[in-house]
Amino acid sequence: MNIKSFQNIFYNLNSSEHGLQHWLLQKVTAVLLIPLSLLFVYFFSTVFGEGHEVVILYFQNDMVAFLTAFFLVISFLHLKQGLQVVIEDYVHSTLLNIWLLRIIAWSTRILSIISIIALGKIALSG
Amino acid sequence: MGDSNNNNRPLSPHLDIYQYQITWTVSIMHRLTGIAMMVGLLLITAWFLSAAFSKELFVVIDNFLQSWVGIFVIFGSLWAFWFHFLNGVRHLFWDAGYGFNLETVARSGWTVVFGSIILTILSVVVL
Repeated sequence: MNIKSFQNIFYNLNSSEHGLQHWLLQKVTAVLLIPLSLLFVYFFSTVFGEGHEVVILYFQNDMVAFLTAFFLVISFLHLKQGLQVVIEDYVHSTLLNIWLLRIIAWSTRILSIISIIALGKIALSG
Repeated sequence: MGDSNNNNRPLSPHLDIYQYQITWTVSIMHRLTGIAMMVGLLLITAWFLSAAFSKELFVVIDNFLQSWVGIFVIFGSLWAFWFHFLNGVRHLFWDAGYGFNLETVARSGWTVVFGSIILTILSVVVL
């Protein structure tokens, strides 16, 4: 493995020289999001506006908590893949381009972990 | 180089000379709705994080989401969601090799536009 591909894996910038992989991940997450996003819209609309206790009680259900966390993680992955293409298309300054891609790769990972922790905490609080 | 008109040559693509077509409109809307939903996704993540760790912060975020601005963001995200959802399915059909006929492409494009509006109204009424 050369240093370039190591960097690509490290920063998760896998469309550079890994176009098929990037496309495939975009598509796999898209297909997963069809049921997950519909379920989430249903979950959210059920409890939105009902206050803290109802929200906690609802998401304490293991299945609901798991599906919501799964939805958020896949969403952030799909968001990362999408934003990466937009930046590659429109941001032509190499330095800005690379830094934006790094920021997006890392912030979406961190947000995924935050989602898992938040839903995990709620699920385990029951 | 060697061009006396170097600095004021028109640059391609000449966006303003393109004829209006539903295909490119839906294409750019797909990107814009994807980016716009980022706002909703971040708010929802903050909503869950505060629900788990700080009731006080949750009340602040929850109240914001129930304010007029918040409702606007939620309904906006809902429409963006349906648009991106329908057009995403349209893309998956293309990936599978279906729907490339010019007429079909235009028809599915308009279906995404009107379908997203209808589904937004329907989901607000039903949910």
